[in-house]
Amino acid sequence: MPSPSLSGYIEGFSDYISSGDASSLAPYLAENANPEFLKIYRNGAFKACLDALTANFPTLKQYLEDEAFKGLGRKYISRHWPQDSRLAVYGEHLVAFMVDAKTDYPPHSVDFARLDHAWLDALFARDESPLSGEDIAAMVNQDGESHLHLLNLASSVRLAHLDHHSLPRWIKFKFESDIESDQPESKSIMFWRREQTVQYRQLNMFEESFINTISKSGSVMQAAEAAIAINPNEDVGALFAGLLMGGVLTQGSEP
Amino acid sequence: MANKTTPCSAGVGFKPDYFQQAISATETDLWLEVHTENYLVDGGIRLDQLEQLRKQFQLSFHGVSASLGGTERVAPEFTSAIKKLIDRFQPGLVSEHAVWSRSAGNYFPDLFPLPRTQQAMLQLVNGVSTYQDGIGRKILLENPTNYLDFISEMDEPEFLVEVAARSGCGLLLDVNNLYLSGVNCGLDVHNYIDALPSGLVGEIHIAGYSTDPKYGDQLCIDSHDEPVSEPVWDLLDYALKHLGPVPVLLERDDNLPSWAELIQERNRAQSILIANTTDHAIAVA
Repeated sequence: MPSPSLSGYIEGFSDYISSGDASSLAPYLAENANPEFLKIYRNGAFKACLDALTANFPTLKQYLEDEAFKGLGRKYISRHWPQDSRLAVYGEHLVAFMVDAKTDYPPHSVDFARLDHAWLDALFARDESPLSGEDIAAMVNQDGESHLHLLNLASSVRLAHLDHHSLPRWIKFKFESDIESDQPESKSIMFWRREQTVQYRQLNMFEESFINTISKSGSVMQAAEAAIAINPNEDVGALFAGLLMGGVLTQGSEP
Repeated sequence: MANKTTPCSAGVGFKPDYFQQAISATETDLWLEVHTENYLVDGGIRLDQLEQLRKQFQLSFHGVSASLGGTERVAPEFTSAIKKLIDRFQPGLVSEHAVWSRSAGNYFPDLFPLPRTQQAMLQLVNGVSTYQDGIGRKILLENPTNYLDFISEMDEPEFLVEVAARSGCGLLLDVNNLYLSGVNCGLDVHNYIDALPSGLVGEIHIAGYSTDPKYGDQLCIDSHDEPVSEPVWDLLDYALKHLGPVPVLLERDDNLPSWAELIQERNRAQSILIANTTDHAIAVA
């Protein structure tokens, strides 16, 4: 009798892992095999995914507590098996999944998922050298202000927009400390990495406008104009200097 | 496959939790193995720590997700990313598994067995060859843990030796996997080792296991969350006697012990390796 095909075997095995139904694997089992032992493979795959979600969303897990997080994780895994074998990025659809699920999660849950994900993304972003104040001075001395139209946000910058004022609570869970912020009501958070440590800053509308415009145009001038249009009383020079000192800006290139 | 600088000694699987202790370790000939996929990130602290570790230790890259026996092609983007990592960190050993884990665009993060058929063997040869071509290195291919038997046209040593012969890869013998396959499926583990040509196996793994809550000792799970069991220590000794001295790696992925406990267990492997290195040298002379 010819052997059943490898593709049929893998398809049947995949169906079992996804659904728990082992019926299409039956032709591939040896006579003495106990089909119940297949559970080790299914449990192993689910556990690895759940471990990855736990590692990638540690604060959400703490907030929801173990059983509720596992329940969310199992539903998410069943709907979104990893596509990428780098489990350090697994959970990229978790925020959208939670929003779509319309389940009655505790109020800060989706924000916690957003914050965990942005923090993780910043942690593993590409390494690069940020611009310093001296770099800017040298650029201006050499080429006038033309290079000030060619700036980028550092590759590790991630912006998170929250539904609630969740950051102080998230900081408390993640770092067991209280937030230090002069924007306690802001729901826009910027994360970036400096010297292997992820930093965060709450942004007001003036700051957010400046950063969004730099991100799109690369131009400090346009960013300043956009920010001043939001609030002419804020100090755009101080914001620019703060971003430079924080290592948030890098040099762009000619288009 | 083995690089000339790989020490024929006992290493440990590295976890970020151990970074501070590992970087201060003083053990002679200690080497570290990492799961390759954990370092496929664009930047940040993981790569920074690995950079620091490579200055002090010989590294080994152990892949867990290439799905070499799967029917989906091994993606060139994936092998290219692995190659970039290998070029940067120059690991002494590079290894993967004789399993599959990808299907219809999904990645199932576990090591699923292949039926030992001619078709599966050819598919695995194709996967190993594609992977080796992509990364520009020969690899060592690890035997799976078996929990139950599937249809087969050949036994496992014959299957793996044929894959190695056709693809040019070497083998990584995980004696814990082998022991569990013996318990779960009734495999004769000594005959298995006897069937492997010496010189083909370039590394041995040891690890601990757990038992299934329902089936107990009838179903043992490759969980890497316990110390190495006595039967696995015995099997390591047997394997080294038959195969000759090769690097031995202690794996521990869960329920992590202190660094001191891990090193104590690693030192037991080192002692067994040294005893067998001496015996082997005498036997060759």
